[in-house]
Parts: sequence; structure tokens; C-alpha cells
Amino acid sequence: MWVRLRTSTTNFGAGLAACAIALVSASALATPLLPFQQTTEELEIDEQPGYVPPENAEQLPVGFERQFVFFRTTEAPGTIIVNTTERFLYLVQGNNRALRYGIGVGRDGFQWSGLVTVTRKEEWPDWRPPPEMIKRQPYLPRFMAGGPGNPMGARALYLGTTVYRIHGTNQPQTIGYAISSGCFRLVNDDVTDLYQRVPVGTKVIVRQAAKL
Amino acid sequence: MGRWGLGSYHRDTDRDRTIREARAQCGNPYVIKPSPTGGVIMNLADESEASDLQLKASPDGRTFIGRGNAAGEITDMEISAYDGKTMTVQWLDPDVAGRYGTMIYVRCGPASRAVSPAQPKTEGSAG
Repeated sequence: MWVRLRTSTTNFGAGLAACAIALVSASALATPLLPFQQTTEELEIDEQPGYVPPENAEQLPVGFERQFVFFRTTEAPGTIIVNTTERFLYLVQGNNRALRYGIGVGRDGFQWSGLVTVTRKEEWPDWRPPPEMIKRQPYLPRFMAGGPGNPMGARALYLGTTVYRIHGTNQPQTIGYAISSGCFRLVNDDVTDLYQRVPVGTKVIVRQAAKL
Repeated sequence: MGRWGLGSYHRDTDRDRTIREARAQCGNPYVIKPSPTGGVIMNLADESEASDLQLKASPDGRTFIGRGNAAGEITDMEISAYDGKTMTVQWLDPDVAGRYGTMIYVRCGPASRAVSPAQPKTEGSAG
């Protein structure tokens, strides 16, 4: 496995759905950015189907562990707010509090913003690598049944009628980064926690940073 | 040879479902081509470049696909079942097997006519 960083222009082509520009939330401006959030550097890392990370690999960097935070919003408790620039997912708790999870954001996750709902939930979801990944890694199975080591991780929350998902990962080192594949990923312990807290029908708001 | 839907699973309870899903992947098939040396052109695990691989038979009747002539090398894959339409393959390398699980190849398209696969090479035979 190799890992390299490169700067991404975040312009992913006319063929993809247009991104709406949203304002950065007040909480995001107040939250100090950690060093590896400063740029849009993309962590280029191939998926590792079947890889089961050691338990200590799921220990997240300081600031990215699941924690309750001050979070002012007009959204109702139980709403999920994803801030891709911060690499955080917030589960609104009410009383100016939210449960914050560190996430990795795949290219798909930068392609759109707006409002959707959780339409389906799955435990140990199956994985179907996208065609562009198959082109790079032709030895990959086109379908991998769910389970430990599956790149989709322990749980998935499917968003609207889109292909986008909040899912786990077997690569916990990708949390906090922009990555080439997938949508919004959490370590398995966090996605399992989130899965237990949110029902189908949960409102999900995805926010991208304003671009000048 | 030909076009195959390719899937994988770790738990035996997922086998039937994986076969169906692999068949559904015929829109993006894995293509096995004949090689100039009488073998097949396929990818070994984690190798983006396909290689000229040989079908190899061991003295105890097992069939392998891999480089060289020696059957059962660590980089080989073993054909554990084949019925003309579905091929079940397992990697000999335990690390690879642990990552990819059992591979299922399902032939795409209509039921195949009688195709003669390359004959497996027995140990010691000329390459």
C-alpha cells in the first residue's frame, strides 16, 4: 500500500452534479482548524479490501474523537450536520450541544451540499467498488459481501435516493482527510454509535465551505 | 476464458448471495484471456498488471493457477470448484486469503458451449 498527498483543485468535472455553495456555520469559524485540515490536500490511498486494522489503529487523533461539543444551531435535536471542510459530523443534541464525530470525506462527499434524509440503514454493508477504481485495481472483486475488512465498514446510512452514504471504514488512518474514494466515513466504533442513535428519516444537512 | 462476473465473500452464509451479485456485475466483467504459452492472462492478487499464468495440477488432483510450473506456490490461486458456469477460487497466501476471502467467478452471457480450458500442467512438465 502506498500513500501520497497531493493538492486538489476540488474541481471534479462537468459530468458530476453541480455543487451548491453553502455558508460555513458559525461554529466552524469558532473552531480552531487542526493542521491537517488547513488545505484540501487529498490523501490518495487505495482501498484495502479485506484489511482488518489492529485495534490501536482506531485511536483517532486529538480532536477527532467522538465528543460532546458546544454547537449553536437552529436545527432540531437529532439532525445530522456534515461539515466537509472541518471533517466533522455533528449530531445535534439540543441546548447548544452536539455529538461530534471525526470523518474522512471522499470525492463524492465534496460534490454536493444540501438537505437529504437517511432512507436506509445497513449493518456490515456490501461493497461495490466504482468503475474508476476497478480500472486502477482490476484484480478487485466487483462485489464484496459485507464483514470485517470490508471497505464500507461496520454500518452504512444511505442518504436520500442518491448513491451517497455515511459509512464505516477499514482504514481508520483516513479520518480527518479528504480522500479519493467514498463519501463520508467514520471509524467503525463511531459509525456503530451513530447508527444506534439515528433512525431512518433523520434529516441530514451537508455543508461545503464557501468558495471565492 | 471469457467474461466473468467477479465477487468475493468471507462467510459461507454469503456464498449464494455473492454468486447472484457476481452475475449482476457482468456489466463490468473480469476478462480472462488465453496466453501465448497456453495458459491464461489474469491478475494475481494486488497486481494491477495481468500476467501469463499457467493451469497447474498437483499430484493429489488439485488445480492451481499461477506462475511457473510448480503447483501450489504461495502466490497461486486454487480452483476449488468449477461447474462450467461458476468457478470458486481461493488464494493460497493466508494473508491474501484473509483479505479477499473466497473469490467467485460467474460466467457472463448465455450458457457456455463446451470450451476446453488450457490443460493444467503437472509438476515437472515442460513449460
